[in-house]
Amino acid sequence: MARARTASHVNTVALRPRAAPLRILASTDHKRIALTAGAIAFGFFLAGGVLALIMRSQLAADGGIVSQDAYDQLFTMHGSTMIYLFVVPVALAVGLYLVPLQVGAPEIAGQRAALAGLWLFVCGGLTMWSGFLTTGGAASASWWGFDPLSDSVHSPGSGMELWIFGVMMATAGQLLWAGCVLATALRRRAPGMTLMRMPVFTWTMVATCLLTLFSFPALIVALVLLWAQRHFGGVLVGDLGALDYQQLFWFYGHPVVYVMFFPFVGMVGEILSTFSGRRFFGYSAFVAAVLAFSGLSMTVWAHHMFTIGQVTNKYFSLASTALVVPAGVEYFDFMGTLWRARLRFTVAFMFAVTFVVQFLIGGLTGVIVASPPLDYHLNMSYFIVGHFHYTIFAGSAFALFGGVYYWFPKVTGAMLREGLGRLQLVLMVIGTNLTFFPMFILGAEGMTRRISRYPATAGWQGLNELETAGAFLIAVSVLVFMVNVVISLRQRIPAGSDPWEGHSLEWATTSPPPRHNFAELPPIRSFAPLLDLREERAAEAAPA
Amino acid sequence: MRRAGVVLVAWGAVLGLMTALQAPFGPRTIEFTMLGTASAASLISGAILALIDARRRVDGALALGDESLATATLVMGLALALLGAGFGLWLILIGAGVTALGLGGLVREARARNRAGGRGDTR
Repeated sequence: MARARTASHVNTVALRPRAAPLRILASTDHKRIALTAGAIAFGFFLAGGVLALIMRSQLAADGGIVSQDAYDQLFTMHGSTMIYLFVVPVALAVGLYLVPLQVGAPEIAGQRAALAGLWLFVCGGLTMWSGFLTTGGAASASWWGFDPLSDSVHSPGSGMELWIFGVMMATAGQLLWAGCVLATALRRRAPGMTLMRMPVFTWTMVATCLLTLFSFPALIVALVLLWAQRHFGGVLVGDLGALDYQQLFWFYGHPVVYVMFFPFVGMVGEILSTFSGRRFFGYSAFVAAVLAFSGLSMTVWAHHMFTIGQVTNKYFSLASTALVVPAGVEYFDFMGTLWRARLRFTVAFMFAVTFVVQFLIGGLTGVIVASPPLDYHLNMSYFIVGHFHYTIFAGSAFALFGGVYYWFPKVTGAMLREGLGRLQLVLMVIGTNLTFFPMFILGAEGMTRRISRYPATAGWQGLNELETAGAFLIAVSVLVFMVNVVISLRQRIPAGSDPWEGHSLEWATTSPPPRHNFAELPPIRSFAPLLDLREERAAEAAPA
Repeated sequence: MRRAGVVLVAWGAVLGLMTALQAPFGPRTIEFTMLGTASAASLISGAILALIDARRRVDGALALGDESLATATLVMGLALALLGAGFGLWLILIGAGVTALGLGGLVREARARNRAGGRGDTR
């Protein structure tokens, strides 16, 4: 074992010991920060999920449960919570935890910035949700808060104000996390860990952080302008003023979709290669595809504005369609990794494969709406709702759960129960497709999004009831997951340091890893150093 | 050398290329500006990082603290001050006070770190 820059080389400063809750909330250990952020984000996911269930109940009952105003608040806070407070934070939190481990670093770069990010995220989330406590209720101008719907005339209450500040804080926190993760990947790598030896997950986090750092500031600028417009007026004036807000918002709003995608692609890549028992196929092409994909995804934001008629539709349609090339390379690499491999059908592997299939539906429907003539018909319909839920929930959430089953043993030292995992997977697959697939049909038939009631003569009741049943099935599957976590932590099955025969460096340390991650590091000769070691040992053990 | 800047420069170049490709389509100023700014920011960051990496090694001992209550306090203060922009001067002042506390704590932590570094106090 080659010694690298590890725990024994790290000075720490001993201040007075603090009480446990403060230790958790003030810890500068990247693992603790990531776990706290992940737990809080999961709490927001549950809260956002409850809002979704209320909305689905409203639509199944064809109105009558909540008013249109309350429904506006529900879909605004559901979307805002899931995007600003769940998927993006959890994607970055996984990076906070894993990237230092995968590159062999004893610590994350910018520990205090990472901790500040956690607190900004917590403050932002609480601020957004405190809108429900105000007399006018929470924000109700959708997760994008378009002007003039969000101005002081149409959204006069302090709920909108709290939403603006909350989103600003959460976004600022995410910017800090992205900076820390990127700096760690690029500048804190262990000796031998060259750029082209970084694991696929780390590369997807690099792409994620680039997108975050260079697109999220646009959202903060947009929100500052919106706040100024609400208080002083004259900032977002006339048609172009409102359109400028949209341009700024979508300059953030489309890259964020890929921030909610790339880390999960990386997780799936790690899982597929581990359970295929072979090196990830087409590593270099994958790295190039991820970087090209992230660059392209910065340039397609205005496809959200095709129907406005004020953007260069041809350019944005071409750029959007070009996304299928790097996406295709990634899928090809996944298939190449699985091809003729000795597969191990663990729950993590099955979640990963399900991601590949489910996300494909989201991706293919994305090709449809990347075409302006088709988008003119489908814009603002339930087709769009179905499309992005297939990418974000049916895609990323499956990969996330796959990642949880895969790395839970590393993080806690205990195995999750495979039986309960299979039950969760089955329930989630059925629930997800029952919930989101009918949305394509309803959208094509003209059901517009964000309506709390629809005409009885439209014939949409049956499909809406089906969607609601699916949504409750998803809730049951999440409940099964929570039961699994509780059982697995209370009646622990020890995991050992490398229960899956992983390929990357996090499996070279104890489970859970020590404060400074590694006592010593194995030699790093490729992007799969532990697989190299196993192959060397097998070659030595083989008869001459 | 870490070559940290290479990634940023390459990515900035991709964005620059996409910015240039917009030109024949007659983009609006804001479309051109936003993407161009992101491209320039990435290129400049990459160049700065490359310069830093060329002059200074990043390997070696790191002075780390296990906890930083001051950081949490500082962020709380800033958050309160930000909320004060919407809810009144009183909240801005409270936020400023908490921020000052956090800054003081950060100074204290930095001094403790320097002392520990000077003594070679490790654990």
